[in-house]
Amino acid sequence: MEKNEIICLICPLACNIELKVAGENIVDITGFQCKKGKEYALQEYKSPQRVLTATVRTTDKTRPLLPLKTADPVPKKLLIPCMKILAGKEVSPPVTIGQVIVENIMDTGINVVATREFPTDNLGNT
Amino acid sequence: MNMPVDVLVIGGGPAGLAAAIKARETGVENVLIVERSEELGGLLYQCIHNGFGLQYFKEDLTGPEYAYRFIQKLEKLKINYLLKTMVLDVTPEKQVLAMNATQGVIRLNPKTIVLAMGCRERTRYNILVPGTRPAGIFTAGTAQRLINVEGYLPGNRVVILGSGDIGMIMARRLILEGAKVEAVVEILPYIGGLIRNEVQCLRDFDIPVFLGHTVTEIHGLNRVNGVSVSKVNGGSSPESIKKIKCNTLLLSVGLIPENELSLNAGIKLDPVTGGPIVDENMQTNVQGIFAGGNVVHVLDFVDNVSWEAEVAGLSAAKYVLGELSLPTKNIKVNAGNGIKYVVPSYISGQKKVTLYMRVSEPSQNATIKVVDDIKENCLYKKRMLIARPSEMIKLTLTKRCIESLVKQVKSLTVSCVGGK
Repeated sequence: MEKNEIICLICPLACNIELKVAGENIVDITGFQCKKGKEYALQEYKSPQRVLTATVRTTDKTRPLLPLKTADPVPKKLLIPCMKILAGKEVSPPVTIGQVIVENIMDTGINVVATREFPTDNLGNT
Repeated sequence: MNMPVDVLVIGGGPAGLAAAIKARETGVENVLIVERSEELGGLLYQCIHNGFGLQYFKEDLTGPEYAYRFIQKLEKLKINYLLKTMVLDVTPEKQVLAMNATQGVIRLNPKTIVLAMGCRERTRYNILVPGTRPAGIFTAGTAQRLINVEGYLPGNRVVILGSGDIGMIMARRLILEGAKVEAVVEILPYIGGLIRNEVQCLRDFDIPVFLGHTVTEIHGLNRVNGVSVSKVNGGSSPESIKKIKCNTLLLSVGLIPENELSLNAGIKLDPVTGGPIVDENMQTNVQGIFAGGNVVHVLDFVDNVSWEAEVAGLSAAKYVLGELSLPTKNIKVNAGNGIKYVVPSYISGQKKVTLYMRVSEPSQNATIKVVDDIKENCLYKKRMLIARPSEMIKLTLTKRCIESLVKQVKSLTVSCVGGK
């Protein structure tokens, strides 16, 4: 049997939740103090998800980077592969906040969207 | 330049934006923000991670998105601002000297001032790390700006000293950008920042953490080539010192409210917070000068910065409109056992008030208590399963609770007693 410790991030209590796992089955789950915590620990064990925030290069020399995020959390194991896709991307302003920069990244069904606005009139090179 | 200003806000970061918007919404015409950098928003643009606005907007936003909401509102309200303009001096008479490259010297004489200068990072020289003076030593915030705004990676083998939130967030950013984080070193026996960051920035990427350790020497001639890490009170024998190879050292060793201007204006600072001593209206000891956000005390959530600065903006507006009644008495709020500090330092005892505080050390089953100095009457009591210095505690003394204060009360004391 394998033990997995998960720190719950639902509230500031930060319970230490312990999952006992035999093969594919969760045998026991202890340490949570509420229903949400139990659900969190199960989700975090089965498929941990994270919002990825990063940047991409722009063609605007005065504002070389555009910040962005995945519109929803993506599987944790895909964070680095997603970064590799973003590393090869370049965007040209104007960009509006929420604009889709990469559609369906790594076939997750989740879009990567801009988190700031780069209107053209702020360009240094036009 | 002769411009009538009712409320002058110094600083266009999250605190300044919130204060200016609130002042305008309260009915003051001439609100002006003076900002030294080339855009409004302060540090929010380099904080590209999420976790902002969970309380204020009930949404999970990134730093730039949080800034955007406030700036949109500011533009809609047609609030004036000066960019690339540095305030050089503020006198106790509220005369302000500023300058920029297009207008030259600017003299302003606003009716009120809101201080919203925020805070700055502690550097190597604040904590006196011994060793050589090579390139490759950055504060975490500088590295954050380089990576997230300017597009430079400051190094590819990194040791981070300090486990505050910025340090941990930078550990994750560095790894996502292809660098290796060799270690996070923390002098205290526990992580300095939020647990969410410990999990999602350090544990997610298996970054080695040395608690109760610190960097005792920086090595390298032209560029950092390693650091010595020693256990606190672990002696100085050579075998107790770990040498970690790296080419970059990031320092995430605390923030200091930026108050040089406040001192010029004759404002008294609290030696614990490093920020102005304020009353419940966020008014300083100089009448008509208010302060809000990280310039008063370093907060962990921008949501609290916005809320606190709104109080400062509201009070400044009321002062201009002649609606801010001077408190008939000042009740001192003391930080008692187990409490590092409390903001505000004074309350009037006439209206509901929110107190912000930090505990001195982590404890479980803690009881937070507010008692008066007369009969040791308990005004407020709150049990917390866990209280950590990294998490600001916010409590509100309701109108009813305030009304129960007897006339002779001169001070209140907040304390935190840990259980087993």
